[in-house]
Amino acid sequence: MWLCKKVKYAGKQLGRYTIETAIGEGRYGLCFLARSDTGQKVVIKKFKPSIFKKNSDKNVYEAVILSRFKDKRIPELLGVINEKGFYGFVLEFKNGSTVKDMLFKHKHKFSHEEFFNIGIKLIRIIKCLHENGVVHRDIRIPNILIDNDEVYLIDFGLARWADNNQYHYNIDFSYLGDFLLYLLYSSFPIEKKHKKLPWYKELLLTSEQKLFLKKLLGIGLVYENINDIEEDFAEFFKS
Amino acid sequence: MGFLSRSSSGKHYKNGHQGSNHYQKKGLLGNLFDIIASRSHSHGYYNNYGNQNNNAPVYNQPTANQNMKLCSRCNSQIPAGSKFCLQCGEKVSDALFCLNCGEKLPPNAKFCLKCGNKIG
Repeated sequence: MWLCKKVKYAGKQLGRYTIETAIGEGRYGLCFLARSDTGQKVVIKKFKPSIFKKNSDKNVYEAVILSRFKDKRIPELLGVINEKGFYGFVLEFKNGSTVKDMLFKHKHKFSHEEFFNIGIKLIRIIKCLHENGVVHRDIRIPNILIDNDEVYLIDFGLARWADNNQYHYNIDFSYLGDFLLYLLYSSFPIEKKHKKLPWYKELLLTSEQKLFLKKLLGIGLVYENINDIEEDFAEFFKS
Repeated sequence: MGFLSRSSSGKHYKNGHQGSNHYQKKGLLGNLFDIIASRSHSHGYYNNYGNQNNNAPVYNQPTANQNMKLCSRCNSQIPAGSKFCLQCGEKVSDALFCLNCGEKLPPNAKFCLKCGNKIG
């Protein structure tokens, strides 16, 4: 099925872009690597026709929110394609591997320094979004790209303008906590028979680090804003 | 309200109490999980779970009809803030003009260079 899709679109010409290969698939549709007529590598995010028709007002958010930013840590919106039943966004290509691939394909074990570098940089990206009134809502391991020391946040398909109700900033705090736990578990010895213990009983963490993660995940206390998170992360995790 | 928030957050996959059983496995089931999780986002898990934080800054986001532009190529409505027409892909001109004298303004200008009118 995946191969069929790869073959179907390879070499397809869309305006000034030529599709090279399919690189991902999600609830929205398909993602392709493409090249512009000037040789620039780009990503084309093609929407399933059903998704676009059904949620057209919702899909607008991704375009409007990405239009607001010109930041090297998030992909820039470069264009919109709508031709011959192909509807998609042209996005800046970011080099790097997703944390999901690093963890589960390459079995990468993140060192403490890597953990700290990724954590603090991701927190600062979230801070930039929140300062602009945006909540990402999808901070997960397939949506964070790592390229050496650089950290990128991609996929703004679920991003919304924050409010005090459905789209609260604390959605990102909770996802951040979950994301950080994936990194921490990469260097945790794999046991053949997984015991069903919670992370705070398995991982070797200081009481401050545990409290930090619990607050992110909304266990007991909670964080009020991303600035406090940045401050505490820097203090509790810096070696 | 508190009760409703709790009951809806209870439906969600992440409970904050997972361990190696969850974080070290990412097979077929994990991927399936991702899709289900993404689809169920609208519920906003842990949303306002004991945290009625009404002081969080909420910005004036562009609403549907605020500053709605019409595309110069296809005449479709372009949502406020979008760099492109979402129908035909035409780039929206980001040039600004002084409201006082009509002079074209350079990006990020704070004052009009012709009449000195304060921008924004």
